[in-house]
Amino acid sequence: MAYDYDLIVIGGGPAGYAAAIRASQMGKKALCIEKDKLGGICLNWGCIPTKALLTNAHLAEMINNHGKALGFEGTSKWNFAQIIARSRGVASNLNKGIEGLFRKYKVTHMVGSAKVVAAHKVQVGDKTVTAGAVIIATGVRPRPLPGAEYDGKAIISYKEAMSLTVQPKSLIVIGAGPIGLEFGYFYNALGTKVTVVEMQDRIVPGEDEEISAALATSLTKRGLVIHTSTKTGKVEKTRTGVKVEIETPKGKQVVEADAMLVAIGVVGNVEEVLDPKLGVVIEKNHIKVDKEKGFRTNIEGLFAVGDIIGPPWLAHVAHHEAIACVETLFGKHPRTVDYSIIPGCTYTDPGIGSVGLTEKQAKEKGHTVRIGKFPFIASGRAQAADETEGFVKLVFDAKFGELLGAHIIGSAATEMISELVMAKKLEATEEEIMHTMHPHPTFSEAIMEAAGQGLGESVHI
Amino acid sequence: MPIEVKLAKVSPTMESGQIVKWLVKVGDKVKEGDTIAEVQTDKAVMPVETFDEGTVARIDVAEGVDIALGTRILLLAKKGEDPKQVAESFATSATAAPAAAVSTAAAPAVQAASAAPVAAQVASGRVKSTPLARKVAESVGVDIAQVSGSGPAGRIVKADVEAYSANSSQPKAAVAPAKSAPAKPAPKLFVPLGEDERIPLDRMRQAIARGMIAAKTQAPEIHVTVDIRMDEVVRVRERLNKSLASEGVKLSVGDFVTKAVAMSLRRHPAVNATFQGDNANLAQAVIVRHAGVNVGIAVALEGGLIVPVLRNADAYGLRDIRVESEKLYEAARSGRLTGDQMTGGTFTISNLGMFGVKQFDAVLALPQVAILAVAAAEKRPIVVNDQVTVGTMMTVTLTADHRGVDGAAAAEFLRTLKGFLEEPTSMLL
Repeated sequence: MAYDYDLIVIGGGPAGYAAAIRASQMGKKALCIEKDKLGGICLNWGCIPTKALLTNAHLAEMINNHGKALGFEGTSKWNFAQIIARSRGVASNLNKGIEGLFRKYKVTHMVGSAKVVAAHKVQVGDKTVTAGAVIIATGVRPRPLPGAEYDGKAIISYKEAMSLTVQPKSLIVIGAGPIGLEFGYFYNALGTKVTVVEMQDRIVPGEDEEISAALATSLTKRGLVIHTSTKTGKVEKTRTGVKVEIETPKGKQVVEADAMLVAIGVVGNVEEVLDPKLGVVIEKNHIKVDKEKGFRTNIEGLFAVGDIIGPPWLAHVAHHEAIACVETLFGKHPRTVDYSIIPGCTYTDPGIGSVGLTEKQAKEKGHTVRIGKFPFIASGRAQAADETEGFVKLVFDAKFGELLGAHIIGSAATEMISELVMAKKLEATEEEIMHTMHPHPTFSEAIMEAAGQGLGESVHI
Repeated sequence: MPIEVKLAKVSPTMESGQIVKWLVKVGDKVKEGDTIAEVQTDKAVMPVETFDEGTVARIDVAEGVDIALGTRILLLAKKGEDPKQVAESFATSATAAPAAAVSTAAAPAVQAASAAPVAAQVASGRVKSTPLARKVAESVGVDIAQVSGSGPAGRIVKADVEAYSANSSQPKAAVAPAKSAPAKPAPKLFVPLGEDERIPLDRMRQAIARGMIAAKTQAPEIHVTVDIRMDEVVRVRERLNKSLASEGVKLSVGDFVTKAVAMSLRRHPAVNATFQGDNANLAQAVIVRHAGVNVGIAVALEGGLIVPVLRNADAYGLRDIRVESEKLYEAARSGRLTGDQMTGGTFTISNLGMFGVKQFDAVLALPQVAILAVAAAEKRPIVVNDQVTVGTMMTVTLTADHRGVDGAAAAEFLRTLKGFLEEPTSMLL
């Protein structure tokens, strides 16, 4: 039986569009079905537009917190509507870019809600299309807080948080992961009073413990109020916003704000895309796949990649999964994704860049660890920039100097981490990192110095 | 289907090779017999020829990378095939079929090939491996060159070393850290003041060492020595060289030795032989007396030696021996001997006469049963008719593999050789 396409991809985000383009590059007839705009959350409502907002936060940060030292004598005034408009403009530019790539690589693009009705068979509206392989890449959506459903005004998700028309005077952020903290940091920098509530005992709980502590100190210094080990209780909508009961370790408190951003995780978009009769295995709202065997589901010819298959819900992971899936599928390289080397970034200021095991995880895995650490206060470049917060922390196995993990907090952390991802991928050891000449003066020198510090050979500390 | 060109054996002891230079590029059309690359083996740099016709679709191996025999080095698209598509369809190191092949509307034209995995291990020099893998290998005593790599282009990663170490039942060798070896250590005029120089064995050195160890451990040898009076050779050589001067050909004493050896071998087939078989299973061993007289002549090179073979040497006159030998020496010195010129020897001559040595023993070039060590022709006091007189004397020593050749047979061969050289005109008979 001849199919309409070699490949149908459902979802046009970082996983979906990459899968469709790669298949087309390999000479396959590919169709990408997206119900909204190409580029997915990442490009339209996530990674990119938030970085546009954080550019404003950084400018405000430089003026408000460093301006005096740098001799700035004006006042910091911002047009909130313009900030939001520029961010939307950046997103819109980029999704036109994806449309251009689809034209270039001759990927067929269909707008609509797709449902897999049978193996190899997808229904879009009243139309049915078939393909040798179908990849589901429909991503995830924000997880609601029980008892406080999103209303888009008082109780909002990241999507509203980046497109508000009026800047809230106060904001409660539930969840101190990267999303919650980036918005918390952004609004705080622009003058909103921000309260962060986290159920776990520290913010950015996925990061190394020292990093969490350092970021908490830096953000508190900037005016964020952070409650950890704190449960969110009753949420009540008021005339001006919300009133939230929280249970801190020190007792109950009531916090009022213009809005409450809920950033406590995500759930997979599995319902619309799958006919329940198909019997695709779903685990915790995510599609179960065999990651070692080309991301196939339990249904022949049906695959899934990206956020829909579960954590860590990162665009770069989704992209690599999509490429590995397509290349395995069409016989180019039977590839897998190495989940032990996934970089993660948080774009606050100071920001976080990390890869691999935390110190605690390394010890729990039985490694005898050696820590190499270098603070930016000892970096000439950081002093010149007046951005001396943070440090580089490298976790090595003491035996061979194997790089187990790297954790950076600092104003350049998110740009610095890639070097260590490469080092880890190529199995560079402490010695190679230390003996790799780093240009002076740069923030990156701190990586070399941290490796040297671990071996007791750093000249600068 | 496209044609996969793989690295073939171009010298007898070759186990791996290195493409020194590609002579074709992607898109070039080649036909049968075209030289496509130069490959460095344990012996020399040799041309690689293609046996097929087509368009170069893909070059799999970079210059300077060591590769195992049988590794695909090039893909040829046949007439009617699109080189681009061929290149796209073949993976560099696709060792397994796609894990999840699905039926598709248009089946891929060519599925991923099950090409030989790219071998990271090499006989000497650089081994593609991560720093961590090297440290782990050194620590657990694994020779990293024995490990096959699973990383990009066969790079050895930590997991490969650990897997090898876990599976290896072989005794673990303590090895020097596998660092990138210098391509060729430059000759030093004086002893360096600093540390001792450690020179890893290059391919040629390894081949020589292997050959010598085999000879000394497998073949019980005897040495038989005779002195040969060379005055007649000196006289005849002088005369002949005068008449050959116009051609620019100059015979050497060594050419006379080659000629005489070749003629003696024809008369003593027991010495023009190879011993083929295993000491542990002599019932199956055979001595092959060869129909052709193919004389190998050892040539010293910087850092080693090589033995080009003068085929059917007994069929040549002195002039042709000179001309053909000269060609072989030239090719040997420039590292351009072909496989044919290095294989098939049935006997070897090692001549150190030019260094003025009085006598020496050569080590057998197995499986050949005999090798002749030729020393310098020099004036010595000799006794002729009970009178002491001056004669030009040359001492030669035959090393023979006693498994195949007895002392008497060796002595008889030398008697014939001595006769030819002491009375060179008898070679005309």
